[in-house]
Amino acid sequence: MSSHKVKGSLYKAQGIVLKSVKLGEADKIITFFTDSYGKTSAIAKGLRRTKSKFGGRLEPFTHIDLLLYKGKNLDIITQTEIIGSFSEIRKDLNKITYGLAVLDLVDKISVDGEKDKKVFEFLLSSLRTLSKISTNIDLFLVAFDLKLLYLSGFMPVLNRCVICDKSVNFFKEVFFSCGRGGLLCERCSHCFDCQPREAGADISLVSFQGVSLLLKLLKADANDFNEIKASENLKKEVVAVVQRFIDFHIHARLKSRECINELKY
Amino acid sequence: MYYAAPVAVLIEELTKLPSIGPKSAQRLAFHLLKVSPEEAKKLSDAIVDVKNKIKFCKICFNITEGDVCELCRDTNRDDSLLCVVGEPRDIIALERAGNYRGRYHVLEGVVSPIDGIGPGDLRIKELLDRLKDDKVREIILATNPNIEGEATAMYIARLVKPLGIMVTRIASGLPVGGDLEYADEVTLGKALEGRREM
Repeated sequence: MSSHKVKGSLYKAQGIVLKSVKLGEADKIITFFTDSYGKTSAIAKGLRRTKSKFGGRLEPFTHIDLLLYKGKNLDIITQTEIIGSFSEIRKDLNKITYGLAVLDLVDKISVDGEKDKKVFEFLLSSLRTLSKISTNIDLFLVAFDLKLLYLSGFMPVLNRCVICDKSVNFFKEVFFSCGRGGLLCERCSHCFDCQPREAGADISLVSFQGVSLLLKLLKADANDFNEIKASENLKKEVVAVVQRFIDFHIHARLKSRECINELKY
Repeated sequence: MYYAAPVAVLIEELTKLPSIGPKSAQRLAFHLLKVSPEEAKKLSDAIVDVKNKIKFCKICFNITEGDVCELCRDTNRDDSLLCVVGEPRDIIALERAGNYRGRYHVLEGVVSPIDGIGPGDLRIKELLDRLKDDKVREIILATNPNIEGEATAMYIARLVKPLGIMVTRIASGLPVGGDLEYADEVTLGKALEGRREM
């Protein structure tokens, strides 16, 4: 869609800053997720100088209005205006840590130039949720992961056996397979034909509480996160299941997640 | 094969420098071919010298010629003030300002989760060790005012505050000579937060 394209070689977009990489003396390449062009990168000239016209407008998490100049290779940012700065996230180290994990996953899961308005809206609402919540921030990340997987077409099946279609209510034990993309009942988990050969060790046992927490998280909004009660072990279980699923399907290292344990408190 | 082997090697090495592409490398290489042997020797010696003689200060991790840098050796500096920066280059910027007379500590980086750099990769343990002798009364966190710098400052503040040492953060706000009209909301918000009585 080029509804935002202004005549000539300037165009407008609304975006959320995902990350920035240093370029040359004082420039940076900014990557953002835009409403009309999906993930896009552009150069911010002179951003690192203290008197840069961009100031703090191109820091990660910022929701901005952009005017871009269509360059030969990379586009160039000419003007920016803040719509929302998410200062609540910026003030809290925990929120920064989990927020960067959110931005990192969006960056890794999306393809340059592939428009996805739903992902844009979802990212925006997730950052609003992150600003508001006060507890269960680890579960917020799990919920974000699940919903983003859903929007990107990777959603694991969580209510029935992916092979025999039996409802999870009738399971004696629940198994989870990344390769199969969801739950397996106890019979199908043992059936050799059902196992993808390259992923024989991929099947793990999960608890009923874990599955029901995952289902609850799929529907959770900002208020729910402050109310959900889950033991540390249960949290660890769902974090691990979803993380394993992401690692299996997203072929990129999510470095931001490796620092979470070091930084959180 | 367009170039004689030594020229090709030189171009290849120059290409490894930051912001130098193949064309710039070629231009530099041909320039070096023209300069006198003495000039060329000076350049190569300077590079070798810097690699041989420069190391990190044992105390603050600034770059130095000896074991301990000049700033740590200076007896006229205030031991009770410790300014924490990300890179040795930041010390130079602060020293140019000229009105800080305390000590420094270089972290050799900042927390950057997107790049997988956590607190364990920085000189934070060494910083905490420096605080053990009770000389330091105040720590000034002078990391860059961006998300990585802020995260680093918050992390260190969390570790140091329980030790009963005052932790301060350098102010951020409007640059001298700038226009209020062009300031963004985040910067202006911080400038208002950090306002002071006149």
